[in-house]
Amino acid sequence: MARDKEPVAPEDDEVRIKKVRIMGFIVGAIVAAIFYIGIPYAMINYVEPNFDTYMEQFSLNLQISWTNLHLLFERWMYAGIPMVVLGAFTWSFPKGSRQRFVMSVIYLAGSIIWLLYVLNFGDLSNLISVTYDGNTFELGIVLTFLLYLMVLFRALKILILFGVYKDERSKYLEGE
Amino acid sequence: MKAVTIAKIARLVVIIAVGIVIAIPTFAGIESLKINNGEFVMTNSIYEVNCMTAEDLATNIKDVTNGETGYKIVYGGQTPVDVPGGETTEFTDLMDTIKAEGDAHPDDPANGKYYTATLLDKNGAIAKQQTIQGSANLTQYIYTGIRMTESMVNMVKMSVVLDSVVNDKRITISEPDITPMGDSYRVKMKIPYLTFASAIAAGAADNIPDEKKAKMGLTIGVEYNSFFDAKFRLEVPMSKFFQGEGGGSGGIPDVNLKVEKDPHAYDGSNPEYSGVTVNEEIKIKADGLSGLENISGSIGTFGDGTAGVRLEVDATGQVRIMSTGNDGSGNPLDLVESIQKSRDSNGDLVINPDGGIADPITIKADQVDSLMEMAAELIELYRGM
Repeated sequence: MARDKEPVAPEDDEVRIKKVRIMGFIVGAIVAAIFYIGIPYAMINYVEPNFDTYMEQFSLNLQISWTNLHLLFERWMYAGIPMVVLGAFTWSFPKGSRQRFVMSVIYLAGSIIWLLYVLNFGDLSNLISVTYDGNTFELGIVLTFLLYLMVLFRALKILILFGVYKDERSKYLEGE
Repeated sequence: MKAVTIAKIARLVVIIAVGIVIAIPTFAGIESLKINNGEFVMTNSIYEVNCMTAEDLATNIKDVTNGETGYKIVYGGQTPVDVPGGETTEFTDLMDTIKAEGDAHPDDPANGKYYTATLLDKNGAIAKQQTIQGSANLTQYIYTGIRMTESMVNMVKMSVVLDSVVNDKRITISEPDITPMGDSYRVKMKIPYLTFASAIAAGAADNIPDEKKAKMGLTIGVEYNSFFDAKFRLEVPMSKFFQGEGGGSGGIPDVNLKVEKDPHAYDGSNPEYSGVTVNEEIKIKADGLSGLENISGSIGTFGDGTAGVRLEVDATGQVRIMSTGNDGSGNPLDLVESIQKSRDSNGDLVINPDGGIADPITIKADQVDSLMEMAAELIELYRGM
C-alpha cells in the first residue's frame, strides 16, 4: 500500500479520525432527525392545527379528519427515534469500514421495520376523510401483496450497501 | 465498473422484472385503451318492482314451521291452503298463487294488489302474519368504456354497499350483486324502498345533533388481484334529497315509512280461526326517537270524530302510525286521508301521549306534508305490486 502523503504522528491521526467520526455522528443524527422526527412533528403541530385556517383563507369549505393521519404521523415520529440513533451511529463510521457496513445493514433492517409499523402493517383503512359542503369522502386501503413488494424493494438496498463497502474498502484500508 | 454501480443495476433489474411480471396480466387483460370520455356508461337499466320472492316466503315460513307439515296459510280470499314443508321450490307455486289471488280478489276497495299472508299453526291459531315488503330492483349494466378481457375483469373484485348512517349507527340498505360479464360488470341492486325511507325518518328526530342526522352512504370496494384492497366511501346528508324547510334535517319528515295495508288480511271472521284486524298503518323504525319507548299515544280526533290516527311505540322502539278512523261502514280510512283530517288549524299533528307521561309531540305542518306525500307514494307503490 503506497502512501503518497507524509506519515503523520499517531496522535494527530487518531484526533482526525475522532473528529471525522464525531462529525459523521452529528450529520447522521441531523439528517435522520429531519426525516424521522422533523417532518411528522411539523405535520402534527403546524399543518394539522392550521389546516382549517388555510382552507378558510381560500374560501374553501373543506375539512379533513386528521384522526388516522395523526396516528400515522405519531407512529412515524415515535418509531423514528431509534432510527435517529441508528443513523447517527451508522454515519459515525467511515465508508469501507466493517463497522459501517454492519451498522448500515442494521439500519436497513430497522427502516423496514419502521416502514411496516408506520403503514400499520398494511392496514390503512379509513386513512383519510374529507368533508366538503356536508358531503364526506373517505379513503381506506389495505395493502396486501403490495406491502411485501415494498419490503422486497427496500431490502434489495443491501446490494448497494455491499457495493459501497467493496468500493470503499480499499480506500479505507489505505487510510484516506 | 464499480461494485456499487453493479449493485444498483442489479437492484433495478430485479425491480423491473418483478414489475413486468405483475404488469403483464394487467396489460394483457386490456384489449383496448379507448376510454369513453373517461366515464362509466350505464346501459340496459332495468327498474322493476317486485314483492317478496318465493325464497323469502319459504324462509319466513320455515322459521316457524321448521319444515313440518300441517300448517296452513291464509291470504286474500281467506281460503286456507296447506303450507309446503319441503324444498324452497315448492313455495314458488304458492307464491304465484298468492299473487294471483291478490289480483283476482273482487272486493278490494283499493282495487289494487295486496300480499299479506297469515300462517296458521296446527291448531288454527295465528303463528305469524307477514306483510310482504316491496322492494325496487335496480339492475344496471356498467360498461367501463375500457374494453377488458374476461380474465382482467375477474382480477378486479368490486363490491358496493349502500347504507344509511344515523346517529353514528350504520344500517345497510342494499349490497348489490356485482357480476363480471364479459368485458363489463353487471350491478344488480335491490333497494328495499321502505327500509330506505325508514332510515330517513329515523334520522330526523329532534334529539339527534345536526351532524349526526341521516346520511346516505355508498362504499365502493376494489380489490385488485390480492395486491391491495381499497375502499372509497361517500356520505351525503339525506337532507339534500329533499326540498323545503322543516325538521332538524332540512325537510326530512320526522316520521314515515313502511306501509302495511291489507284490508283483506285475515280478520278472524271465520269462527274456526282467531285473528287480528290489520288496519292501514305506517311503521317506522324510531332509532332516533329515544325516550318514546314504553309509551304510546293517540292523536285526538278531528271533525266528526270518524277520523283518527294512533301512534304506538313498541318495546323495540319501532313506531307504528295507524289510521283508526273509518268511513262509517267499518272500512278503515286511508291513512293519508286520516292524517289529513287529524291536522289542527295550523296543519300540525299533535300527539298526546296516553296518561300524560310525556310532553305532546308535534309534527309540524311542513313535515306532515312530506309525510303525506311519502305515505301516498309508498301506498301507491305497495298497491302497484
